[in-house]
Amino acid sequence: MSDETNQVYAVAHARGGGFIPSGVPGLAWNILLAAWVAYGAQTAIKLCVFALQPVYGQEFQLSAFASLMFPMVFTFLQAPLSPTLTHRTDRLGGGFSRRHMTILVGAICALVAALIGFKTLSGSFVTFMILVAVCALFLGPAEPLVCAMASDWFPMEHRGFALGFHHTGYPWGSFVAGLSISWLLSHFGNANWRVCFLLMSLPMVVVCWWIWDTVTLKNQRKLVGEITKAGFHSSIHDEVLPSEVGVEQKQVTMGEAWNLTMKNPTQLIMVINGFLICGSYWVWAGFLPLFIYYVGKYSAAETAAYTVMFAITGGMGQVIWGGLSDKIGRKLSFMCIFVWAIVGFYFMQYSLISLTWLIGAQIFVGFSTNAPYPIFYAVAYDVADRRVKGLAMGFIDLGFYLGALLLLLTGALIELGGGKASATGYYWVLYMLMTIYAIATVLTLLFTRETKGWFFKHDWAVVSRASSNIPEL
Amino acid sequence: MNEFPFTLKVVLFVVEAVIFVAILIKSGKLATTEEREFLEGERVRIAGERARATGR
Repeated sequence: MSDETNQVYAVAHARGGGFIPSGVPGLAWNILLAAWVAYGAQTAIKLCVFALQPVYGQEFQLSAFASLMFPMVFTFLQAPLSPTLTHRTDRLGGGFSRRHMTILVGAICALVAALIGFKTLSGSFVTFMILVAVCALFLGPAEPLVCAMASDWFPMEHRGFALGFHHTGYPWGSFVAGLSISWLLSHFGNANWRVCFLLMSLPMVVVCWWIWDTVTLKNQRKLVGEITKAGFHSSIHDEVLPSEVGVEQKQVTMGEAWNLTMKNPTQLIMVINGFLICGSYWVWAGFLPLFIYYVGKYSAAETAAYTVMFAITGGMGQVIWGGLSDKIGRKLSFMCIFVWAIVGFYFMQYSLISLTWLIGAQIFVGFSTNAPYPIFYAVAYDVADRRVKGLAMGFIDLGFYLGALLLLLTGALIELGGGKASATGYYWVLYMLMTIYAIATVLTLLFTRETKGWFFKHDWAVVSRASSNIPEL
Repeated sequence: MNEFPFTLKVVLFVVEAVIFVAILIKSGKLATTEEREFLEGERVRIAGERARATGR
């Protein structure tokens, strides 16, 4: 094993197999599925805040501005605890040691969401907001923890695929949760909207039991053996990055962890691009229903259906680009995705010509809207040594959720363009998105190093490989 | 429209809370002996590293 000889063994050394992993031990798939369902269950709770916005906005008589700001605050509050709590799991050694924290944050956010189900506790805007805020604080760290779980336990040869598959929990979880909420509202009526929070929190019970049952030291040891026997390499046991060689210290303080992560240019650009790209996703998700409803003049029901078309290819894009990134490289994948998105947003200008255009443009752009997120996490995991792997993902999460601030720009552009019924402001938003993706492409090209794949040796970066904690091959 | 029964809400919440508490206790305090020893070893090692680093 690599850590016995204390030799560097990075993801670039691990030779990937086919696009679809074959020969991977069943236990690794079991834990990947648990992480996938966990992410879907977290998404179901998140979706309650977004999808029920018009209903609770009406009950609490929120202004249009307050209604828009509520999901932004909810998203923003998912950021603060992520670095601290993920760092705590790193200090205990990652792997199975993340189990207790993952269950703890899952249980807290689910129970608080369930409390929203009672009008006595969430009857006023203030009490509802407090409960949603507490829920958001613990939902935030849950995401990097399950991403770390997907990375820790799957062979490093297929890390991109594992994270891509895991991340489909978001678009497809949203899809299932959206349909469930829609059915609950039609069955029990809008006045019973609170019950959605209670019922959508229940899947988390199954998830936490599943994690408790499978994420154990015994299984960790068993899996490391099985992965080796299958000819793969384990992230927990085999991966040794340059920053770990010759270093006895197995645990770092928050200050040292900050230096190990944020002074790494590749990691830093992942956080900055995470802010820009995920911020663009929040903008896209907020822009689309307004654009279709007010400019396209579709009915509310049609708008609800036509705004989720991109989620179908969104999940497919995550698996395809995640798996491809194991083969062609993460940096190349990012750049292809970003350019794809620019073309897709350009097509969106013509989406109101006909319904075919509206669906077609969304299906096209969907392949790029969700695809970058698993690769952000994969790169962060590739370049962070074992003492800061969880934290590296926590910082990515921080960038993602701070990106919600871009929603403020969206509202301003729509207003400046003549208000919500005028197409001009919406087109400006599309140009803004294209510009953001172009900036992210340039940042990726110049300031990140390829961690594996076709262009590992010649990746046109202006920063050194050593500063990014990537070995020379 | 059907009213969602309040009693059912309470039952669901109580069951959910009880299961979570049970899982948390099992995951934390009642972890296997091997896991407890492993994590205890990690805590001792971390404390040793900290003591060495601070010279105490």
